[in-house]
Amino acid sequence: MNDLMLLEFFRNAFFMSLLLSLLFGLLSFFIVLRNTAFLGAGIAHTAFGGVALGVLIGIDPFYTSLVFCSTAAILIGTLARHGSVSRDSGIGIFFSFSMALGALFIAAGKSYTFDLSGYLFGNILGVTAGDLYIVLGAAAVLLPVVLIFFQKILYMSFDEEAAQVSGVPVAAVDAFLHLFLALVIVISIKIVGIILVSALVVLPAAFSAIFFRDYKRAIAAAIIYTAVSMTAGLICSYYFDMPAGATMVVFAGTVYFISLIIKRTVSD
Amino acid sequence: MQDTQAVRFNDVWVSYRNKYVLEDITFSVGEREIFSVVGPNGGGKTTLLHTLLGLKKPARGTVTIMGKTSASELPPGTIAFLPQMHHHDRTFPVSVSDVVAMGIRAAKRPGQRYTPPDRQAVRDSLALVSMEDHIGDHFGTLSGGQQQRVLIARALAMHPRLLVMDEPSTGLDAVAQDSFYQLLQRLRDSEGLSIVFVSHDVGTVSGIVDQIACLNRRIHFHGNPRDGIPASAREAVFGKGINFLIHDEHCKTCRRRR
Ligand SMILES: Nc1ncnc2c1ncn2[C@@H]1O[C@H](COP(=O)(O)OP(=O)(O)O)[C@@H](O)[C@H]1O
Ligand SMILES: [Mg+2]
Repeated sequence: MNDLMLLEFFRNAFFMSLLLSLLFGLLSFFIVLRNTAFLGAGIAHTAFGGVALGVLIGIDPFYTSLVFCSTAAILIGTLARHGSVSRDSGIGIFFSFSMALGALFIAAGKSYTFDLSGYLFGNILGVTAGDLYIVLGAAAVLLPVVLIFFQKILYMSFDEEAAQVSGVPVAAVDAFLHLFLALVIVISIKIVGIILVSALVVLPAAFSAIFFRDYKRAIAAAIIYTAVSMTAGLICSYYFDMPAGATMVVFAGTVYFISLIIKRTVSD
Repeated sequence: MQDTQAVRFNDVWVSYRNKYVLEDITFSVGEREIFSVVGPNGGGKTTLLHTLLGLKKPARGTVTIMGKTSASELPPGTIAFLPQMHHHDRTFPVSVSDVVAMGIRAAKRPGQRYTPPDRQAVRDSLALVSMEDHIGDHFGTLSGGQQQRVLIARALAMHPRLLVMDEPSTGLDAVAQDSFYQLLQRLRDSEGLSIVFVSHDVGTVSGIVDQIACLNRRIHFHGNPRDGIPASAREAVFGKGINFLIHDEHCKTCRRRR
């Protein structure tokens, strides 16, 4: 373990996993409560078009995919709010369109070889200290805002219309949460990849819902569960020479299923 | 000039996808008045409340609420809204007291704390709907009718000046319904609350409200139901051959029949 920490990429990935657990634990709680779990998968897949464009025109794919994902996140929310397109249809349309664009961009830049599977399933060797600073910055903005507005976000997750009448700026909070989800997803693509990141959006809250009926404990449990899954997955992946993102998600999924079974048998 | 009406609609038209669902709506609700909207499914009752609350913009006409042109100009907590009953996720990790406190907490500015008097307001409003023994329960484990009572308590806990409710009696049993309507009258008389609510039960609410509006796209009648609802309005809103008993405290036989 100590010698692992001497490896720079591992150290970066480790601390990044801890910070991401904090962010995903919180976001997952609100996303799942608001019945928008599919949004995570949709935004993540939208990143593909952005990554391919970045590679094609020689810009860091982080920035291009951030533009793609945040645009999609805002548009999906806005269209659903105006009742023009249902949220799920909007998500389905955006992400398939963006993935198709991505396939075209890759075809257009045929001479260029890039690490496709790294973007799809994550590659922790690519995690840099710069990424760590970006997550730190994201946490420094998200955490205070969520703490200050926690009760208002909880209220609107429970009952949007009543919350709006009580003075909660529902549309603005929604846009903020969607943008942040997009940012956190784009950041974590390096670790878990486009395809696996939606697990981190859904599993933390789904896991804590099995055991907790109190929101404070539920959020704490979601964060701890994510942190344990991500770091355990990271360490296992190193010793058994497996891809880190996949190991984390398999670990988290297994814990989830076992918990579900335990809860069922205990309460029967 | 100060508008002394709690709510005033003036020639309001509301549409969804270029189709009018409300036409030429004109009425007003006074301070300390209980106003009930009745009508068939799809008659536009929910849309009317949403327009009143500023959740839906009218295509034409003006809405005035507590003297302002939009509910959003009023201080948070002035209006409490109980939406039409919808299914709440049973795993939502909140207790009964968490739910009742939501409105109070939403009205606070950042940094303002949740105080002992707030806690007391939560307990008091739960007592008003006889749910005080469930204060620590998980909201998701309550029955539909109990959940509805807790949501009514949430609206009351904010001490609003205008209470707007969409089919509040849904899921309430006969006893709970009876005490709910008595509660509304007490709140009007003791706290000067104005109340607008949607109901299906014309017979029962006619006995307690100050004004009723029969709505089916248009308002076919509004006024005091004890003065009688014209047969033409009854027909336009509920169909031919429908009669309803008006229950009120003077009508002993009606009460015994329930
Ligand atoms: N979001 C919406 N989009 C399109 N049409 C709607 C929407 N909400 C309500 N309507 C239509 O408006 C009419 C009135 O609905 P509503 O106000 O819910 O009636 P009520 O509450 O009296 O049952 C109905 O014909 C309904 O189909
Ligand atoms: Mg309705």
